[in-house]
Amino acid sequence: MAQADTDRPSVREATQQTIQEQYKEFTRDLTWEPTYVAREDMYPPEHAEGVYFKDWDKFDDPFRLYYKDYVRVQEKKEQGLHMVFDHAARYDFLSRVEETWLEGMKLFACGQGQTEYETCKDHMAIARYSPAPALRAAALYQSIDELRHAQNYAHYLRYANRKLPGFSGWATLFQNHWLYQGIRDAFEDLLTANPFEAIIGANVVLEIGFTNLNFVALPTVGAANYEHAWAQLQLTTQSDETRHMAIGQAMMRTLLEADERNLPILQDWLDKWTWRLYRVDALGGSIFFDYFAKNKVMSYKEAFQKYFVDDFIGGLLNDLGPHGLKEPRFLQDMLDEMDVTSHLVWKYLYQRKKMLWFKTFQPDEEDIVWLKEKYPGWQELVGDFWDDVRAGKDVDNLGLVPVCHLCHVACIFHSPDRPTLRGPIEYDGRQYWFCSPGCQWIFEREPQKYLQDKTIVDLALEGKVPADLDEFLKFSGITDPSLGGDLYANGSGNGSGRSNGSGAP
Amino acid sequence: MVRLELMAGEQADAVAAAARKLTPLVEVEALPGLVSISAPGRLTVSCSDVSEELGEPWDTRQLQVILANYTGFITKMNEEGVELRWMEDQARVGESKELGGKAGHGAG
Repeated sequence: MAQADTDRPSVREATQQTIQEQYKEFTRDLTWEPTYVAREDMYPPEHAEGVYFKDWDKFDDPFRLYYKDYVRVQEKKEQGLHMVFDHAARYDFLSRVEETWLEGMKLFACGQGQTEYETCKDHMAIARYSPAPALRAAALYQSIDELRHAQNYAHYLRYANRKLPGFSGWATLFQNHWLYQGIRDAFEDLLTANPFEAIIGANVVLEIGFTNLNFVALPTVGAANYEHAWAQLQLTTQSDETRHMAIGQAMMRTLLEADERNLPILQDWLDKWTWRLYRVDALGGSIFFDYFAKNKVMSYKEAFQKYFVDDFIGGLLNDLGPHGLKEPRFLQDMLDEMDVTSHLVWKYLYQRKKMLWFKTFQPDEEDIVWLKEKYPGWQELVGDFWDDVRAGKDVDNLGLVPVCHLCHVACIFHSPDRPTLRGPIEYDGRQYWFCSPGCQWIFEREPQKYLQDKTIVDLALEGKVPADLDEFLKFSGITDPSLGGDLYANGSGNGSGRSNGSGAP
Repeated sequence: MVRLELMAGEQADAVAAAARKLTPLVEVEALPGLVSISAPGRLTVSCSDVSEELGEPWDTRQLQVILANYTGFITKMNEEGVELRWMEDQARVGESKELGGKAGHGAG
């Protein structure tokens, strides 16, 4: 649809102004010096702290977007998206989606909207309080973008929920379900971070590093599994992220060029957020490439290498390496985990399939050939486990597992030289355990922040989360236990064979 | 490499064709639902070239609607067109074609 906006002349056409002139008029020129309040009251100093920068007017938005153009662009995106949804609903596209992929959609869609909404809140604060006029304008658009995404994911849930169970109750699931604790915690960490740290975390690491995996690579996998409405939703979301990426890149470059004291600060935030967000992506994203996809396009390992390592890290170092920026501190740990990540997550979920609102399944012969080809150590790692499943053994494990005190993800990841559990370290007579050196490092940078944070296991031990399994499932947002279980096993997931009374993961 | 990834369709094809005019080493790859347009070091697209391909007016606002992803640094986004490059390549900019410029060799 390459139609020009002939129906309404743009401001540009009407005034003959260049984009640069209009951008200046509608963003910078809307800034004024306050007269009846002090400047510090209008822009509280804590919103300009944490980095060394004086002339906030120097910061610029590479897209030079102003409100009227923003609305016109977004309107077109929305029309395009909802046309796809209408079409998909009219011709019942959902019934053609691979059933394995559809189970994954229950996990993805119930979690995505709230993360978008957290980012919306984050940018509303930047839009109001930032000392940089261009950043205030860009953050305002970004907060509206994130709200659009949150609403579109709610729309997707509604679209799917009309036909299938497992797409409702997302608010309780996101808040209380053990599988979402890691991602919820990461976004709450972002929301309570210094505003510039939040921009590095969200606009650089999340939106350049990880949305490429989840909003570019993954929709191509979704499309191969016939989920076209969701694929279009991911792409339209990502089309806004391109603007956010540009803001993040411009922010990093501007700060590095302005003052060399910013280098260690930015490096520190990059080190923290790459690991923090990698951990939740490894838990939530990896299994879509390697397991939920019946029609496989690329492995998580391949996608991670292309989009995260080559494009994001390579690009960042290419661009900002000359300013002294180095690769993230824990990159090697991520690469060391690549061969095991998705397989350990999938096994972990299969063992807890009665505590989920989507179904998991055993990989079939064809899957196993592919998995062994992409991951030569697969047989050694989980081959016996799946043999046991095939032999009909009860592999369920609903008991407590250690949860990392930083990322709130179960300590299930290991690599050739690294065990699953790290610690303990002691604060105020209490011991803290971690899943990785990265999480321990992040915790020890800011213990006062993370000491306040309780994991779901802490809450269970304190009696604040029900210990009885049925009560625990209700608390988690599981209204119908038959939604979990094995996709292909008759009668599984109906609650039979629960092994013990402890409900927490 | 710098890269634009666009939602597949008529506009994406026109942008790819326009990119080829200014950047000889451009590579175009079709992915499910996407068209990936990449080039070493620098990639420029002129709005007037895209308009000519499509046979109707086209500007960077329309690019924003279909722009799913990019790699590189956006050094220009205005009524003339869009330009992506990595900063290390700035030294070589003088040798390659500017938007609306005439002479030069392709970047990289």
